[in-house]
Amino acid sequence: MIRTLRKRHLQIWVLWAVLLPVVIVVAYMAVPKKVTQELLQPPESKTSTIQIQSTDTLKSK
Amino acid sequence: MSVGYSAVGWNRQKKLYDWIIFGFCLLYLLAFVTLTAVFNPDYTFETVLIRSTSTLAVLLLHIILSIGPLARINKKFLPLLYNRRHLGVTMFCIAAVHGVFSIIQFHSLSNVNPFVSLFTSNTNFSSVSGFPFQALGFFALIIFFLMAITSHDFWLHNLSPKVWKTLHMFVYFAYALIIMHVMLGVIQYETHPVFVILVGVGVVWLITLHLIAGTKEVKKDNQKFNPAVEGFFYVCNANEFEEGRAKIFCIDKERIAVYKHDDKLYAIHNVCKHQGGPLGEGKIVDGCITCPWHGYQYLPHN
Repeated sequence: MIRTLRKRHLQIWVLWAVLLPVVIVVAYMAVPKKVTQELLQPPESKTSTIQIQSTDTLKSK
Repeated sequence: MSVGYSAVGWNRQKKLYDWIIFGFCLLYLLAFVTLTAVFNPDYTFETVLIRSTSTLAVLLLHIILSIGPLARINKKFLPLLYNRRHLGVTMFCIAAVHGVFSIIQFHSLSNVNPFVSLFTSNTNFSSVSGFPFQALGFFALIIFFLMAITSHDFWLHNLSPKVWKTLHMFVYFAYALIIMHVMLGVIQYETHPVFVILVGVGVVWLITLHLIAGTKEVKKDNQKFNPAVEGFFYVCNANEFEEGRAKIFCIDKERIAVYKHDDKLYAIHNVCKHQGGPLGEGKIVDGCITCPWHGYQYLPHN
């Protein structure tokens, strides 16, 4: 291999030695975090037992 | 193509290497499909095909890029250089299967031209996690295509070694594109750390190999020899040469390969006329100095 070509090879790999690890780190840091599916209601809350009459019924009374 | 060129200069060794490449690729694909069927039976055939060919192509690319520096660090790897072209063409074919099926799966179901869709369906260039990574893979595939179709002595002769070598140096740019394609693509949703570790190990392996081989060459270039007699340089003792092999010396920024053959020493220019290969890293085969890259042969005495 000729001297200039050898030099160019080395220069490219020195450049990649700097750039590629940066690409990997930046891309890995940008990975979207998993969204945990939380219940809107706390699990201990139960269905309300209070009966509410509709306003229409109240009016008719 | 001229009648002066044959498609491939087959010999027993090349056939053996090609069978090894074929067997390895087949085994890898079978293992990938089987493991996916066991652990992820819900995946479609297209998805399995896209993933198996992509991982195989990346693995082959790492092997291809390792061969050059490995052969410089240790001569035992030199025989692998002979078949690097075949490995490169195989890698392109596998990467092309990945590319074609990806375009079919992700871009051919609308009334927009698949290639237009490839570049217009995602223009989120300002985002890292949502970057249009498919375009990066496409450009890398174009480079591999150009390399694969010109991987023949016909093109080497017609393009000239300098242009040919410059074109093939683009493989390093394609490698960087592939790393970005993987990191900004599959890694963004396959979040298991093992995938990043595998990519990281591959990158570190190649960078280390190339830097070690590169610095070794720089040291060789900076060797200093003092002239002993007018026009001659003392480089080493005659008994330090191995029969049928050469030692390389750099004199006045020019590399000289000194071969020992039939108890005689022959000093020749280290650069092969064919493609600039390092003649001094070859050996004497059938009485001829044989270039380690593509087997070009020269008579030692002329």
